[in-house]
Amino acid sequence: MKTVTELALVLACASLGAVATWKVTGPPSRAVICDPATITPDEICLSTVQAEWPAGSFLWIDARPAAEWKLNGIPGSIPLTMTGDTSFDEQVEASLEKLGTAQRALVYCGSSGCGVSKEVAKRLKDLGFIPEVRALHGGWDALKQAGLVKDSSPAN
Amino acid sequence: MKAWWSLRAPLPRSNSPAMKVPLICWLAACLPLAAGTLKFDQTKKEVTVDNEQKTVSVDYEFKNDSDSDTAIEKYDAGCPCATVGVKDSKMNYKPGETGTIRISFDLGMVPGTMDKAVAIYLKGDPANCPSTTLNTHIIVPTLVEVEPKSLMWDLGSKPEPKTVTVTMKHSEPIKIVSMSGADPRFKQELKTIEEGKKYEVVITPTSTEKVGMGVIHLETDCTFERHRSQRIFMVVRQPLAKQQAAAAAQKNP
Repeated sequence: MKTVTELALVLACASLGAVATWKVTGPPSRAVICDPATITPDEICLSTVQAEWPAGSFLWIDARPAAEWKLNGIPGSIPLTMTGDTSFDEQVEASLEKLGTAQRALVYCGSSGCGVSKEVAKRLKDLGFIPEVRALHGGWDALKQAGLVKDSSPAN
Repeated sequence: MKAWWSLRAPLPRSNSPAMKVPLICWLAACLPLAAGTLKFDQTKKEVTVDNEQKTVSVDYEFKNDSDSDTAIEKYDAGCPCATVGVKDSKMNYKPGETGTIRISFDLGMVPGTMDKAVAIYLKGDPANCPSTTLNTHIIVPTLVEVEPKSLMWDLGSKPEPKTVTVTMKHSEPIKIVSMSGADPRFKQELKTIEEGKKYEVVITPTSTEKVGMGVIHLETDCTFERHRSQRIFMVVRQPLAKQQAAAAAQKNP
């Protein structure tokens, strides 16, 4: 019985310590970690964009499926993805006015792990319209954590 | 001087059932913390697909090489372009057990190579930190090569003609059956270099005084839908900001 009491005491102490840590340091961070020194050259951190790319000076490109872009894409963004039945060229043609005049573009996709934004960025670079095209590290997760998106804010 | 441990009271012996039971329970409760890992034969694969294929499946074999049980908790393809399945829907693996993860990719209508990553999360993996990422390099052969796909003229520059070369990379001849894009701002001329093999499209803007965009559609008789229709993009645009900045810097050093 004594052992059980001791075990309960240890558990209680550990729980108290955990609660105290939570209170002092806050909940565990689930933020998308982005270190400019470790990301690939075709990516960019949201913090870098916010610090160095003036609002309105670049074009947002939504690489998620078109339905998701319609639902809550960043206002002013254009849809350009690698999935679905519409070819990449057709999508480029549909947004040629914006793509042809942009000086910079930032591509985001659905999550931290998605690679579609990098693919779209690569194809845009190959087209050569836009001098600087980057994929947003962390994608939609990073935008959500920064409070830049809502659950439903139609892009168009 | 006595060693420090000799000052302590002797530890109680743990032979009593009252002590063993809670200890065993404690150890059992801790087992999930020591989650096993899956060892994959390959985490990178390259696959070349046929032109008529709209999907492609790639298998990744693995084995639980650890001493403890492990479980696949979730997988994230990052886009709906891929569906992930585990053979027999088996998610829990004992030490030594093997399994297969099958990733089916929707190739859409995109020709050319693609890199697709799928994150595999095992039980106990932190959020955004999967145990394994499976990378697939998918090669879709290009049958109709358009080079370059886009032409640009700076605003106010000389409206010089520029040439796009269309090369057929298929074993069978592919002919251009029509060229459309009746944009009066651009004149276009199709030249046959070798019928079914090589063509040139010469494009000239009528003026570069205004910003403008145009698209030329090339229709071929390619039997594969993915390659049948091609586009050439033309843009008359403001000179690039970087060039402007460089020019300004030269003017005002």
